[in-house]
Amino acid sequence: INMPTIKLQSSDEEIFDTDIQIAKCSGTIRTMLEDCGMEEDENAIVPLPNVNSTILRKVLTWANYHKDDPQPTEDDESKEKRTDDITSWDADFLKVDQGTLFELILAANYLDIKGLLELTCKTVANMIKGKTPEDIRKTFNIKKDFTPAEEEQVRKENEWCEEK
Amino acid sequence: ISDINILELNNDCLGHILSYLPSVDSNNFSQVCRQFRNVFIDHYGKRNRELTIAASTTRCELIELSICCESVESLTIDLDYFDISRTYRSHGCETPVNCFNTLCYALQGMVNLRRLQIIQLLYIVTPVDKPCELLFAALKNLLNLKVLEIRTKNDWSFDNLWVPKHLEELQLYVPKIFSSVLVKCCKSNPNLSVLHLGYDCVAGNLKDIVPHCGNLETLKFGMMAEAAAYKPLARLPKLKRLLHYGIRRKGSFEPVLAGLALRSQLQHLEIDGGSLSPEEIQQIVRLNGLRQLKCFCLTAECVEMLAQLKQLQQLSLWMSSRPDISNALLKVLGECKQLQLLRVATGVLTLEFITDVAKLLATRHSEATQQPLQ
Repeated sequence: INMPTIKLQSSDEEIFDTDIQIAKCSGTIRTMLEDCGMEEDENAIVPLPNVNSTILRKVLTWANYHKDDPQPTEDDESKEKRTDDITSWDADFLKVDQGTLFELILAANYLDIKGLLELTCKTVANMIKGKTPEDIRKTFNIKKDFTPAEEEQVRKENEWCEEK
Repeated sequence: ISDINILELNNDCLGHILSYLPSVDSNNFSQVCRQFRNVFIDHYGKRNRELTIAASTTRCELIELSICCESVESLTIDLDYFDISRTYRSHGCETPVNCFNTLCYALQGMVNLRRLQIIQLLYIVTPVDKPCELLFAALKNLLNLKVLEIRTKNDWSFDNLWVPKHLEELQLYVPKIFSSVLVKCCKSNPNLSVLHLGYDCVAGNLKDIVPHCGNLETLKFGMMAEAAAYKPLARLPKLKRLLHYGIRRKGSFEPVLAGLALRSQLQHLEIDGGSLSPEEIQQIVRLNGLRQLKCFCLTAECVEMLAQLKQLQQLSLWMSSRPDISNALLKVLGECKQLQLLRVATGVLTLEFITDVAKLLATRHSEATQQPLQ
């Protein structure tokens, strides 16, 4: 069967012919299609000025693999969120450098792809877990930019005594 | 290959990441850099608006409270947290003095704090010297602090109570407070409109506060004192609600009520404990602005006199003896046409009382509906 497709255009002006079903895992694209009535028009181009072709290709790979996933349910704020439930395909998919991981987060956030945003944020959370603030700075190449007054406040916070 | 840094993520995305971190890790996250810290405060500030520090509070919660100190609007401190026996408990603080200093530091930063409650349900033993003094000193720059409630058991010293300067409501349920301390506090809080005092807790003369309480509208207190100790309260220029509780000397309210009757601003009077003497009732019925009254009466004649309070909206009555007050109350109901609520505790009424009241109200209703026809 010939699936209906749609043209997505990355920030570097590459065109991706994409199944509508896959493109619609993005809430942003779904809204655009519905609001502009573009679904009927085979040649319509959806511009995505915030996503470059490298990242868009990764995003579409992920979306293709996950196209039959059930819609993620609304998360329960009170429950502590798990981060140990990443599948091996997803783990392999995210064996990328930090910069790519962050660009995927930005893209998932911009395109409103809940499943991909959860996956990428969990991955970063796992990189933070168990580390001291100094370790976290080293891991992500962050400069400590507290003023002396803020440093003092951080020091004071840590003076709440240890639990036994 | 992309080389963007984690700090190029927007706060939304960083907030998502934060939401996957358990408390110890999220506290560490907040101590990495300013941007992470702001994300943490955006994310968790709202759950720190109203907080209690009690025996069960964990270290992570305390750190979070310190980080989000600017978000705190209402804080309750249970002094039990600083009891020395906590050393032997499963959570919390091994060295109460350090913890207390950390708390005071956090308190200084709570610039949006509106209400502070210091409570203590049990006597405690703590190495912290004068804990209330330290807490008050930390309130120095908190311009939004309007409500301070203190309910303590130990006989702490409160000399620094004058430090906050913007209080509108002060509740002191403490074993003892010197009137000189209270006066100093009233002087530095000219907008104080509500003052509650624990039974017999003022050492010295309560009346000394009168010249410094120009905006006091509600005074709740209880004491076993001579009439002269209350009398000057009638001079409080804005007093609208006067509430006394607990045992008192017989007839001791007559002079203050006589003073209050000179102006018609008192709206709410409670003398909860100790039957009113006929002389006291004679003064009460002169309070022609009175809308709410709660009192103890001894005789049906006393009850009947209350019918003179034409503006009365709520009446709560305790009878300290057992006369039949049905007719007296019917008279009150007949005269006090604004009355919306009548509560009678331990009073003797006839079986027909309710029917009689219903008839009375029905008459009034038909009168009201007939008026437009005239």
